[in-house]
Amino acid sequence: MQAIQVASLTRLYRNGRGIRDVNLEVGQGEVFGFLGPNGAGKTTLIRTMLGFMHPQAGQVHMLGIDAVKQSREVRSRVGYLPSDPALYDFLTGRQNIDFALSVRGVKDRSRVKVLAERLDVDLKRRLKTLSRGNKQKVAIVVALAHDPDLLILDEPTSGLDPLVQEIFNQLIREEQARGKTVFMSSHVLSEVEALCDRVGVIRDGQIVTVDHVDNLKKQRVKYVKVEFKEALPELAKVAGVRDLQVEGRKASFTFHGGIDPLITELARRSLADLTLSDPPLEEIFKAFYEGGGGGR
Amino acid sequence: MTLFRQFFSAHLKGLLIWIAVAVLMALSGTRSAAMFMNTNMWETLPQSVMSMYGNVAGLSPVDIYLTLIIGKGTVLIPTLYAVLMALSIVTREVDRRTVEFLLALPVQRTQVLTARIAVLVVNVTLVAGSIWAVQRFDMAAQGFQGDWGHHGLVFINLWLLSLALGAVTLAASMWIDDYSVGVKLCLGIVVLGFILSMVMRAAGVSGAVSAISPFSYLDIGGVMRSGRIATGDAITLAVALAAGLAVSFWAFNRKQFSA
Repeated sequence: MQAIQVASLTRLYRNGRGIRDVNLEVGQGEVFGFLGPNGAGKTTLIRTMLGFMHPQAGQVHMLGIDAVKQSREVRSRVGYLPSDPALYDFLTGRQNIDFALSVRGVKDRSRVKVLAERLDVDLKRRLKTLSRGNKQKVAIVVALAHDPDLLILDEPTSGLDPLVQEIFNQLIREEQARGKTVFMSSHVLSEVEALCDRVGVIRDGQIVTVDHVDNLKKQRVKYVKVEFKEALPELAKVAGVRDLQVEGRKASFTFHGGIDPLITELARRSLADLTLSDPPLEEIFKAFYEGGGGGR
Repeated sequence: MTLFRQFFSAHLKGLLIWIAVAVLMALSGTRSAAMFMNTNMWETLPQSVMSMYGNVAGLSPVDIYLTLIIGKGTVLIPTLYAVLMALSIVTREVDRRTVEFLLALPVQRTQVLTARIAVLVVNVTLVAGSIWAVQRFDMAAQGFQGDWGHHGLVFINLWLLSLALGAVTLAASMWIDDYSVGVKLCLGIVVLGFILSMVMRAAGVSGAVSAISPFSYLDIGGVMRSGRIATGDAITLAVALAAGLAVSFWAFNRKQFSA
């Protein structure tokens, strides 16, 4: 059974934006990264999955349950962390958590204490007196306190300092080790690279690729460093060369697409050095974001 | 019950402030009763001014006074409170984005709305009831005996009017996501309706024209005199209440909570 199955899901706004015919599957126990530029449809998909918005077409199943028709049952087993969480300001952290757990019918508060200690958050203070980072920590406790089977995290580490981000990453790894599924949207590619098994990229409301992080890195984007023995050829004219930087006889660039034309071009020259490496994940996703489709 | 408790506690401070204001306003009215009675002030006031607060013909001096102190502004307290409460049910949550926290929990939207409407009913009852209690018992304590059964009916009419306004506001609020805009708009309409009803009463306007103000469905003098709420008023308010609630549930269940 898949933890998340999204089939032909469409939810469009009046301005034509939103998500269109989205298909996605996330396996149980998987940490799935969901990436896309602002306005691509990440939050719309998450909100539609959680029942905040009703789909115009398509289906969503989470943990084997129809998330549209049985949204309440789904939400009882899901922990949700929004990108900029808004809890009740007039309540303390503990009161917010107690409210959420009471509604969920959870009496066991043991995880609250453990999580609060791990994240070093004071639950006795009213939310309005806390910094954004500390509010985010309370929201993480809210999302995890009921020991959900599926975690949906919308840019979860925005507002957290690097130390807490690392603790958060550890928590996610522990959840995965316990067989829990994590679906997280993020802008922090290093975080996705460190945590996720697979990644989906959304652009203009449509999924443009879903693949393992390692596969994506091996795809047809290469980071190239080359030193010529003679004058530099006009590399900018070679199809697929982007972000070209030149320093004397040395050049560095990313190369998108099949490697053959580049090798053919370079073979005509006398080279002092050549390095081909996997680019940082940012370069790969930039290609998807800009409509390049990663050279697939 | 958790949803009810949470929303009630969220409004407890506000409720106590409103009750305090209501009690002080009611006391300011009842404590001036002796001066009013002793000077026969109502006989010196122009008919149009008397009519502004309600038709008091045929009432005893105590009942005339009660009609005046209810009509001159007391009616605004539970009605304005109901409108503000109604706006806090969904619009304020959307505006402050706490609605995400709420909807991510395993609750049906209908449950959320039902619990919150129940708090609105309880709180409006407490605010209206506190005014009624102060008028009823402080006047009696000063030795003024009004027709307390009829006086109680006026408050039932006022309670019904407040709830109807609350329900209509709640229905309208489903399309208002900005809390401050909602407050300005809805309070403006209620206050304007109140002023309009006073002006129309002073000018002797009645019938279909007067029906545009919600306060036309609270005939304080008529209820004090007859001991019954006019059937037309009761039906109109009950229909507004039912329609407001029906639209609220329908719209809330279909509302899209986008970013």
